[in-house]
Amino acid sequence: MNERYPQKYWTEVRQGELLPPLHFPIDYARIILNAAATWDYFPGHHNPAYARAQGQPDIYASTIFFHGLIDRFVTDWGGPRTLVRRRRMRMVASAHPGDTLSAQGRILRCYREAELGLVDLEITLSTERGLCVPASVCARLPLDHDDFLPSPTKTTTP
Amino acid sequence: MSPAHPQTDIGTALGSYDEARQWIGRRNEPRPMDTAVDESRCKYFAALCEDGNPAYWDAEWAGEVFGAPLAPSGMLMSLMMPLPWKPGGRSAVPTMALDVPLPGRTLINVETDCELFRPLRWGERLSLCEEMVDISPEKHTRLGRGHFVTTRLLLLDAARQPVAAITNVLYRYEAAGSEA
Repeated sequence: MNERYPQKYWTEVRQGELLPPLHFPIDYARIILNAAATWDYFPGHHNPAYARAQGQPDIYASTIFFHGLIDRFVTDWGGPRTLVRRRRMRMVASAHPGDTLSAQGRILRCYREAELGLVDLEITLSTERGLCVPASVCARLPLDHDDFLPSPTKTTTP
Repeated sequence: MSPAHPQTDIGTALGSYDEARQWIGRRNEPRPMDTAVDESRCKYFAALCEDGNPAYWDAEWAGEVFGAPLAPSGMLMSLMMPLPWKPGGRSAVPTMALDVPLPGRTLINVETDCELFRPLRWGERLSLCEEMVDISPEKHTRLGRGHFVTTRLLLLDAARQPVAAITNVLYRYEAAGSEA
């Protein structure tokens, strides 16, 4: 198929390859947008007094935002036919207004599973204060330009 | 829900660890989500992350490649969020991690493990199944005293086939030196 958008193929990536870093500033508007876009109106995400009573210095980004940023980081690198199959992450610190989140990542392993081309990625999100979210992602890349994804009616395996 | 237990303003049920332990292994019947996976929510979420992936923005291309435009994979847990209000009053959607009676009045999410069995497409209608997996003994962290609550969330499509599974760990705690 003709690639309208840049796409990496499984056959051209290598263990140890670094993903281009991503820097994402966080301000109050972003945290409020976070609540609005995810429907996650837990008060720690929009009410500074509540967040402080929780032991946080200010309102903070939600789990779902970290999910979105990590997946964006992966598909920015791999291209739009890259599919996240598994994402594991821990939140060891919070991200607050005034922080900049920096994403870094590298390929730990490239392997085949059945007919699929898979990569395991090690990813970190950090702020100026240090590590915020360590994560690991298993993503599927097309094997080559002819590797079409299954149609929605044929299978449930990405 | 646990109507016998007092609830905080954020909906956490208060009770003892011994009561909470009885919830381990409990599983809810699938409940349908309030809305379908729709274009505006998908694009709004992509905008939050400034994610220009054409799978979410270029309907023609995504239709050719995936059969339909996709929902960002990262927004999965947001699809489980209820509407804040519906006719008849506020939504009272059961969420095990809040409903389980524990001493901790507030919470913070700690860890997720998401398995995505296939991409989600605009227009899909999903249901959610929850299972209580584990509740830790009392722990002390820099935030305060509490319990780690592990739940497993299974998202099902209209044919009741699993599309994603999430193991979620959150900390139900009493904030150190203050009342959250």
